[in-house]
Amino acid sequence: MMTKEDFSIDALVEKMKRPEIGGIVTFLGTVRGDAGITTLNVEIYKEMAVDELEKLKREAHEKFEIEAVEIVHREGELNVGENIVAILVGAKHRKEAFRACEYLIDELKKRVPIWKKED
Amino acid sequence: MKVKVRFFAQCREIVGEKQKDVEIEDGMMLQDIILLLIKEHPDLKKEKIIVSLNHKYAQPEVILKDNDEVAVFPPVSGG
Repeated sequence: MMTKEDFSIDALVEKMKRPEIGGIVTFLGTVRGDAGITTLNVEIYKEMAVDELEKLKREAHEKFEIEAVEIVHREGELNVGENIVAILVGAKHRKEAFRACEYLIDELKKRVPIWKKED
Repeated sequence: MKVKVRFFAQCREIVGEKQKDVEIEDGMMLQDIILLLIKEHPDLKKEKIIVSLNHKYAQPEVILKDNDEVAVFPPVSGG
């Protein structure tokens, strides 16, 4: 999902927990304070991004033995240190969750219509 | 017949608007509309342009239909 508001990674983890899950891998992307960067502007083609994210989640479920996937991406103006993206993968066992999480962030960066502009 | 064309990121900045309607002729392909847009806004050539059709990545040879939604944008950079 896409949100202008900040999110809590703890709340997302709590929401994902259930008896069949033995491990949750999370990736949290934040705004890096490179030289000259104070804010980052995130633009999203929402209708297409929603479709692409759903497609990505389906692919992850097909490729890996996982139980749950959640992806949250911020939009709008973000300051250095703020959260940009969270990816959570819950699985019975950790290995599949790690692999799926890496697959999801790599593919998100390649395919989901989101643009970051440094101001 | 017409299609809605939406622009994002640097492509939106070059064109100067978020979206516009473009008249199309029967049998017109996605690549034809891109060529039209580049003719109108030559600076688009400076960007590597990606196009989508009705919220999906599409081949340049696909034929456009009335009320299709085309989007023009640079390589994505989310995450």
